[in-house]
Amino acid sequence: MRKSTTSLTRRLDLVALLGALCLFLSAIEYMIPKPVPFLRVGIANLPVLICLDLLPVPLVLLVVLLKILGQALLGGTLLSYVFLFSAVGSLASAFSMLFFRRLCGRHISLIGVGILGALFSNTMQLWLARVLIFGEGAWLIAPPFIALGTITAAALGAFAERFASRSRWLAAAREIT
Amino acid sequence: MKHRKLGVFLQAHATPGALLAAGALLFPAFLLQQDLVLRALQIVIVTSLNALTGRRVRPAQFLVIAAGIVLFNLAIPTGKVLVAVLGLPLTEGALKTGLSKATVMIGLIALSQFSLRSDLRLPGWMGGLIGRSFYYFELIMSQSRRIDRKDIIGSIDRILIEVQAGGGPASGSSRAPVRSTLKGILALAAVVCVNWVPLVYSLVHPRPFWGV
Repeated sequence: MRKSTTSLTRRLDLVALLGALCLFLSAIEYMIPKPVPFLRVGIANLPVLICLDLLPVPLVLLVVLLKILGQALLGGTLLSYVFLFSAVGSLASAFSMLFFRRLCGRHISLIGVGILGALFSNTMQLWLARVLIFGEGAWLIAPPFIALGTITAAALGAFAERFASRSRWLAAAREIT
Repeated sequence: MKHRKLGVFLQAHATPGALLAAGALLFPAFLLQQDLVLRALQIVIVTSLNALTGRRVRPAQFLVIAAGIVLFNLAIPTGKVLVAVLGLPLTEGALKTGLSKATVMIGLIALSQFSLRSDLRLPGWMGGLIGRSFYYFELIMSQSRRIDRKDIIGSIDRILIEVQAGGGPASGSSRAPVRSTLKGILALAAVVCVNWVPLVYSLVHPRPFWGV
């Protein structure tokens, strides 16, 4: 009983650290200028990609929740549309990445998983943008938005693959989980 | 430093919860505003408050966001044609919709920034987990200069190992919570009243969309 409690505490500690890494990467991303606040390169998704194989589904979703809430609290956007875009995009991306990774296992790389996550996230955000802000004009932004999302997701997926194979921290974390 | 006086005052005299409550009272005053000029005035008031509380205000970013939203709305012409630019009609309906959405978007961001302080503690174990995450975030930020562009993976890896090994407080942020004082509550009440004045004015003296 005590052992399982300790194990859960250590896992939650790992979740908090992954959430912190999301916030750190968000802070870096914040410095990149963009025409609309929800248009992001997506580097803060790196910890989510990394933890797909590391944690069970509920804890992966907890990392995503920490990312969404942490970004909103630090950026002060919790009570604005930006939070809605962030939440919908992040959750769509997380659910799709989890689904495809669990379905295909090692037959799909983190690059493929990342691209699929970005496609689902961008589609949901475009739909929200159409409803809330841009109207039908949202479809004009769709091609560059999706193209940029796909390219950055592929790059991030490649980075995540390298990180997963080289990281000593991740190797130690696997033992915890 | 002078810019942060209000921020220092609120930090000492108002809890994050009181600030959030004041912010919640500001939202209806902003969202119910239909007069574009007065809505812009409210944005100026809240943005000024953000500057006074030491928040980083980026007018250029707001302008880029507004321009983007207006442009995308202008792409779908509706209503009377005001002028044609390079053969493309600039219509009144699209311009109104674009400006309205742009001011709502910017205003909500400004209001949200005013209402939230990073030491806001959410209740329950989730609040504790967020506090722990913020603690790790501060540790990572303090080490961020050690990230080597030539070895990004290796340097991030080393930081994560050290941060996790360092551990830390069992839960939450290290900042001590403060109690709201009468001074703090009066200051927040004044902020709320100042923001309600434009709405009350527009309800008493309703004007067309452009305010003239």
